[in-house]
Amino acid sequence: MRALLAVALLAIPSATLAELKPGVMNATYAEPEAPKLAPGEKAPPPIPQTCKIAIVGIEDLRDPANYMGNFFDNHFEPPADRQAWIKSMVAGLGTRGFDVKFAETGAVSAGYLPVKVALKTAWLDYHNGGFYGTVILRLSSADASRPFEKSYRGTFWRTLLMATVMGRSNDALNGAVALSLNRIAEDAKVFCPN
Amino acid sequence: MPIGFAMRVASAVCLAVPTAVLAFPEETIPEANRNPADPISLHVIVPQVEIRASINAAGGGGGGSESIVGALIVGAMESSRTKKAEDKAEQIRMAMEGFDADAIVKREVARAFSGINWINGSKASFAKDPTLWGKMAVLDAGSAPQMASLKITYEMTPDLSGVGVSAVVELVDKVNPRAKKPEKRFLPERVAFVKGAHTITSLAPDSSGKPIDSVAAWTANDGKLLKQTLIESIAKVADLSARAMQLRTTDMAAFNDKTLPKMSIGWHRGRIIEGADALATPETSNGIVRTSATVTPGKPGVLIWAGYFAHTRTLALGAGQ
Repeated sequence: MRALLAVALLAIPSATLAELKPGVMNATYAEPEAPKLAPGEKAPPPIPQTCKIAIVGIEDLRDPANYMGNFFDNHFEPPADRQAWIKSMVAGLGTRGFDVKFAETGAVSAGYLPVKVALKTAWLDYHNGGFYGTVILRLSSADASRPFEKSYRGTFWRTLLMATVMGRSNDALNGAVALSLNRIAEDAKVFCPN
Repeated sequence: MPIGFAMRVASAVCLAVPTAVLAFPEETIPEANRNPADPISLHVIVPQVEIRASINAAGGGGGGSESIVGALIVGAMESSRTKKAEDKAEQIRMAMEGFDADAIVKREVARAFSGINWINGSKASFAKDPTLWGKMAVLDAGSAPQMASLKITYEMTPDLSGVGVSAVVELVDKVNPRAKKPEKRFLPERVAFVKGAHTITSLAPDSSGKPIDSVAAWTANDGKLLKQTLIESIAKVADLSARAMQLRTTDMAAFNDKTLPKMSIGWHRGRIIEGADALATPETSNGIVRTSATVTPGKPGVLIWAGYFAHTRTLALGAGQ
């Protein structure tokens, strides 16, 4: 066991305590790459945007607010502009059958369901040789006549093998957001009148 | 040769030499530090937001899966196997939605440490950040001469048939003349005391011989059995952590008594100090060394001393559902 540890110690990248800096996550969410198509396979058509929602409130409920997990003695922080960060996640519903309008300050267009979005969890756990991203988004109605409130989670793992810490931690987080958005889309009947 | 590489070579050599050559923390907390008038502060850390599933071939459960060796082994595994295991683990995570492990940890740690007047358990701080820098900020912000950081983690065993909760308690001096930089107070050879506590709860085999669907058992009724097991396991490691901090040299001598039988719990191996009567198959052992023994379902389990506490118990299906 000691011999294994000794070998492992030689294999890891060198870093001293003084070199450690927080890893700041990317400013916006990016959709994970779609699986490569097999020869002759056609890309699926875009999903029509039939579910109309207006985002009238965005909240960051994560606790702690400036901490998202760690990689040994280095920790991850969210980007500085949290509103833009969460907004970019919600915009991902646009490719999942939602017509999303942001109306935090303005009036809600007719036919759009006013919805509030909260980011309850955004976390990175270094485990099993890679990063687990975990995201929980909560959607709640701002229309008293059509009340609902539901949380949607996603967990996604990306190996650290042959990759950078920030690259793979962002991949893991984006994958988790995508899964959370997929679950919202699967549950669209809760929000959509039609 | 770059300095960084040279340091790693030196560290690797240190790992290869016998442990007695290196300086280590005290085995027990000295009496002088057990002072109710100037109590040790307690800082609790839970560095995760949902249950981990160890999908690794290294085995063992409990702690250790953050290790470099584990990472190297797991990194080399084929991804299809990981995906298959992940799909099962996801069912468990879904069932555990809304389970607030942090709240359970806070409650159980406060309870377990409430009877120790030289540790300020009732005013324990809580954080998610296990990094050296996070702990250092808490230590320096407080007025206590020593801080005990108690890190608690929880995860499924690699085959998902068991759940493990681990704790590591580390006592750090606020002022340490041997540490030339503030962060060096947290180096393994500079901390005043460090001990671990682990508990692993497994599902008992089906008496009919049929394989058990562990995932179905844990996740039935919105994860009722897993949630209850986690609550009990967190309480157990909180108790063992408090007990570890109160150990005296007489306890150590009793635990290391060479007449006590040995047992392995995952990769923890040590002498049985409690619950030897819970072993299901003592007749299969030679009476001195018991390895791979099973624990009778429903019993409180077996506690071993391996330089730290490791506990295991077995649940009979239907008992907790």
